[in-house]
Amino acid sequence: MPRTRSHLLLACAAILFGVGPASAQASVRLSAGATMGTDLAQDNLGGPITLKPAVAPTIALAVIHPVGHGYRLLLEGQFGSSTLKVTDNGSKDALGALRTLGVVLLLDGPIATRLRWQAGAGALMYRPAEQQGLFLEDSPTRWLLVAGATWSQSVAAGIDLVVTGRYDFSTFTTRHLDTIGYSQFTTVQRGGLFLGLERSF
Amino acid sequence: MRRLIPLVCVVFAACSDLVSPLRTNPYEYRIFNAKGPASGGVDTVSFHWPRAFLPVRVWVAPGDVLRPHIATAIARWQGAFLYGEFRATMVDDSSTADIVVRNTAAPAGGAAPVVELEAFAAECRGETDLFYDLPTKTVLLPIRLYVFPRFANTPPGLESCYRVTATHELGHALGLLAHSPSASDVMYLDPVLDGISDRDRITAETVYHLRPTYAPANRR
Repeated sequence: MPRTRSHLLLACAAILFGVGPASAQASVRLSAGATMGTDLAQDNLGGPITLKPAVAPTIALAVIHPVGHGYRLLLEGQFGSSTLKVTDNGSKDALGALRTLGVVLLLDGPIATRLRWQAGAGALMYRPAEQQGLFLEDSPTRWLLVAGATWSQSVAAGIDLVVTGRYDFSTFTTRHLDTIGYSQFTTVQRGGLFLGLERSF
Repeated sequence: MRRLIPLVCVVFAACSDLVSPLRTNPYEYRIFNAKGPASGGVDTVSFHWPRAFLPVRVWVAPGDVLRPHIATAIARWQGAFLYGEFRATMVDDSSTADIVVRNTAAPAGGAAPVVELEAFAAECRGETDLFYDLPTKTVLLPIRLYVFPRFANTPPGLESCYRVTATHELGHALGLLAHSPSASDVMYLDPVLDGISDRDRITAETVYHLRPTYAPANRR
């Protein structure tokens, strides 16, 4: 069995059977950064229309639990806020704030000494400031697939500086779009860059 | 081959997009003004609020019985649009309003050319006056809405009538200048629908995505 696959199986077994920290320590990471994404909706009403959130300042808090063999489990909450922007046949307009709240569960493993990969899944909740337009009937929650990489550098005893690059993938539609006869969904891809501090206990 | 199936699914998902419904049967929203060009021909009047004017400022006197009904009408029409094409807000100062709403009968016609659009519900009446300037093809702000009781006493259905008629008149003020031929739409001449229909919504979307012949002007 290849080495990486056996590590992955061990990590999964450790998660499933509740194996506690071996030699590593649990930690907490607080990060801040920015998230940008692709269009939430593309339409054509006498001309092209796109609806897209602006670059969102985002904060993230992760609780990290080692699961053995260098793997760690991260439970992370993210909060971002930006403006919803519409381009309607060439004219641009801002439609108020759009907040997103993400909760993801990630498995994190080593690539090199300071470099680690992470992958997982979670949920992304859209919380518009106004229940209007697409969001007239609900504030949707969508499933999310996440992948990323982190680079860390120790800055003090038990404290690491961590840079995270993140990519996530989800789909988007709303109840109101469904009500008025839209079908299928938009695929939304987002990228984020974060700088954070991780404290081990 | 079996290994390709997930890949095909991912590629399909990555390329997926919303599919719009067919928007069929909007009713005629323009008016054809026989008093238009000097040549004696017919002038087509269509109008909508450009995004630069949003949110449209609506004034109703503080404490006026129409105030909650106008708020309902604004919410209804805003809800008809997906991409914020029409947004309105209530303002306290009538001198800065784009739309002025009064709970009285409309005064007799002024000097400027005016488009009078009326509604005749059972307990109340409504009228929207758009003053326009033919040479510059502009609608002169403010647009004036009148919603008022038909009888001196207060009939039981007056509140409901105010709500329906306010929605109807605000529909005119946002650009649905003509009346729907169907009683199932709030823009019917004698409106009974307490809300807006799919056809009202589709027609409003149409108005906001076709080039108008008149633009608002004289904003204060």
